[in-house]
Amino acid sequence: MMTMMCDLPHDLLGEKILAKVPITSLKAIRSTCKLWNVLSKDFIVGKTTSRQHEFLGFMTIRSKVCSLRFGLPGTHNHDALVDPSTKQVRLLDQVEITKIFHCDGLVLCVTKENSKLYPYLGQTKWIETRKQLHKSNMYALGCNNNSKVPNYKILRLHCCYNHYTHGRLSGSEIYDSMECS
Amino acid sequence: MSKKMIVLKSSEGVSFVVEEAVARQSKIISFLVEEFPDRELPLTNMTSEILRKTIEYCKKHVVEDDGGGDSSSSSSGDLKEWDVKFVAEIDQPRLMDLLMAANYLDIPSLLDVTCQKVADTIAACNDEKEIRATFNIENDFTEEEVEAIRMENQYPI
Repeated sequence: MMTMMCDLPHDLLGEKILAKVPITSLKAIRSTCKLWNVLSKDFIVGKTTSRQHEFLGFMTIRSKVCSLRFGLPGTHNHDALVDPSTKQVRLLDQVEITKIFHCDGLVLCVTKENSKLYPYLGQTKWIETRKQLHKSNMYALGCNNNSKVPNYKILRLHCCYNHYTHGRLSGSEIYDSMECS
Repeated sequence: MSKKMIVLKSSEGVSFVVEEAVARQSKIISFLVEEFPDRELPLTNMTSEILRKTIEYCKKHVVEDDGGGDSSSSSSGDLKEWDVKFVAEIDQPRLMDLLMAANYLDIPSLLDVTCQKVADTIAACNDEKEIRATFNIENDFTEEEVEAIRMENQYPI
């Protein structure tokens, strides 16, 4: 028989195979050949993607950023959580990440020294923080819904934190995702 | 209690006698069995090796009660483990053949595990060169297109 990859029906390749590949392999898939590039747009991040039944998020493992994905229960034939899988985001190898936030494909990574905004499907941007980081800082990543072009902002809260009392807000900063350093 | 058997014939003309319940996991065979009872079914696009593998999978996954349709097996954990081992033991070209067989015969669970294995193999590749080499895919991009894709996908992963 000797089936080759090019013998597979396109729907089968896109929907059943490429859609199962972690999004962290997207660049390699798109660079493989013309067909894969087209299919990836439909089946990995496009409308026909099966990923609506899948949780995709990010986590840190030993200070390294990893993507995390698993199928959601009740959406497959199996009723248990389906195969959680993690894959390290390799180009962020050099950086030690302490916190990570994810919103609409934007990933905010807080490093030991700096905050880093890491747009998932665009360029990485470093955002230098105005004040020194502290591990008790809290972050939120969100977007202004009113404007046509989404404008993502990062909110950083400084808290005076005491283990036995509630944290008290001592200041806040807002960073625009368009801010470049 | 005798089980109804059916005969499947590979492209080399080798006959495989299979319990009907086992073979009926294929929606195509299920249909053919009803349309053409008591006939041997020629599967001219499947080699004996691939047909044997497909039957092995179906035997493992057959649901023992007679009413059972497409419900997955009770001991799903064990079965899943078995599936992983099953596809791990198959080399790349045969895996693709098995995937096509599962697609042709319409055996959704076998199609799922074989596709997952291929997806995992793609994910394990470090870059597009390794993907092309693994799956024997021709690079049909021009220099300009490579550059365009590089620009489009400038995310650091």
